[in-house]
Order: sequence, then C-alpha cells, then structure tokens
Amino acid sequence: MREQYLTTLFWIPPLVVLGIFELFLGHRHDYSGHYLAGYGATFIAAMLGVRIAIGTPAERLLHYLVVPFCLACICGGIITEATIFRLAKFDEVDFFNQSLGAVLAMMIVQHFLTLLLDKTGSENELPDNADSTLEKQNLTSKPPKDCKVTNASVRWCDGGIIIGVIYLGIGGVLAFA
Amino acid sequence: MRSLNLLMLTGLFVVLGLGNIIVTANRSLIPQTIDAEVALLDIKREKHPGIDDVHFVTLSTGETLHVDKAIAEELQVGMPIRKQAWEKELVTGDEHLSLEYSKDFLGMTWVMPLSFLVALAVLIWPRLWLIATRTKKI
Repeated sequence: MREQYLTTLFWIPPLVVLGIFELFLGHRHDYSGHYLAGYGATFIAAMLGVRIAIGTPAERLLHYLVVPFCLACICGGIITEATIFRLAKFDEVDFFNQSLGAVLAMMIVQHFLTLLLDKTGSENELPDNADSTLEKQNLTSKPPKDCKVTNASVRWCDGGIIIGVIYLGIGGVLAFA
Repeated sequence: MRSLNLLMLTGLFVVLGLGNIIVTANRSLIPQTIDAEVALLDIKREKHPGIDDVHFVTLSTGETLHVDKAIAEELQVGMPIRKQAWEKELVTGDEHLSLEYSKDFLGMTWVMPLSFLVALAVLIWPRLWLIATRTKKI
C-alpha cells in the first residue's frame, strides 16, 4: 500500500503537469523543459538532504526546513538563469516555470516527510489520519535509542534521487533539444 | 507544521503562475500605456534561433520592452507609437496596428490554472489516496 502511495506520488503529479504544458504550450518545449528540470533538480537535492538527515537528530527539523529549502532552490534557479543559462536575457518565464517545478517537488517531499517522520505504521493510516500530537512529540522528545535508519526510508530516498535524475534529464533534453 | 508548509507552497505556486501570465501578457503590449518613439529594435538569439528569439524595443524614453515577435516585425526605428493601457490597438503614426495576445499567453491561461489544480490534488493527495483505495476495496 505504502509503496504504491509513494510511487504514484513521486511519478504522477509531475507527469500530469508535463502533459498539460505539452498540450497547451507544445510549440515551446523549453517551457516544459524548465518546469521538469526545476522539479528534478529540487527533488534530487531534497531527497539527498532527507537521506543524510534520517536517523540523526536533524531529522526532527526537517518539517521546518521544507519552505526555506524550497526558497533556496528557487534562489539557486535565479542564479543559474542569470549566469550560465543566460543567453539573450534573464527570461522570467523560464524562471517561473522552473520555480513551479521546485514548488511541486517540495509539496511532494512534504508528504514523504509526513509519512516518514510521523511513523504512521499501519497500512491503512495515511498522513492525514495521523494524530497531530505525534508531530509535536517528535519535535519535543529525544530521539529513541532504537531510532535507526531504516532500509525502507533510505531505499525511498534513493528511489527519489533516481526519479529526480530521470526528470532532470528529460527536462534538460526538452529545454535544449 | 505540514499543513502550514503545504499552504505556503500552494501560495507560492499561485504567485509564480500569475507571474507567468502577467509576463507573457506584457509582451503583447496590451496591458501597457505607451507614448514614445521607437529608438532601437534588437533581436537576441536564444537556444532555438527562430523559435525563442527575444525581441527588444527601446523607446525614446529610454525604456526597453521585451515584445512578441509579431509586434517587433511591424515596428521601425523612428516610428511614433501610442496606446492606452488595455487598448488592443497601437497607433503608429497614421496607421493602427491591431494587438493580439500571443500563443504563449493563451497557452499560459490554460496551463497555469490546470497546473494549479494538480497542485491542489497534491495538497490533498493522502485523502485522495484513501478514497481511491477504499473505493477499490468496495
């Protein structure tokens, strides 16, 4: 159940948005390319960060870092668009599209973190059913001694990184081909 | 915290989507008020020459505008141009040039709201998932 939940969450939303871009802005593949590259790059960075943080005390701070991390990725996009990818001018539309991808990626990462950190164990308990006090307990209590990096969490982070690389690759091809 | 994060990200999504629509609309000149002469016309190449070229019009006021290709092709250096905001006609000396929104803008008016719907679906993804799986079980 959880496998299917995360698989669809990681793959489907960016693909649907890509389809919408191609359907209505098919004459400008670079727009969809920038969007997908923004999604992929942000997803890679976020999953890498989560992979490093899980199982450490920093894990409890992850919820607080979602929005700042997203803004940092958007700022990274501004810098690359204004420097190495600046050809004719700083293209605002390219910037907006890649930032939209970054925001969508972080929305998905937020759901992943909720599942990961709230530890809703039962297959039928998905994040919105989880007790909100759990989150507070996670933040106030010391990490349990048996808080080990689970193989499943790391595997999902690795999977997320691979998905990010695939989307970044397709985005790059669409933007430059 | 997670709800607040998701709400802030959704807000950011809306702002960026509106940015796309506003910028592409501005390139049609329709939202703008102009009363000046064309001082300089310039084309800069992007990644795909002929497809994503950037057309600049510098006015006698010193302002440089990024305009749609269809508009730039109708203008000449020294030509006086005048229009009020939201008028779809550009007065160029004795002639009147009809302004239209570009394919980019029209595309954005579909893509941004539909993408926003996808973002909303992501926002309530766990609930959608539960509904979908329960329906499947029934």
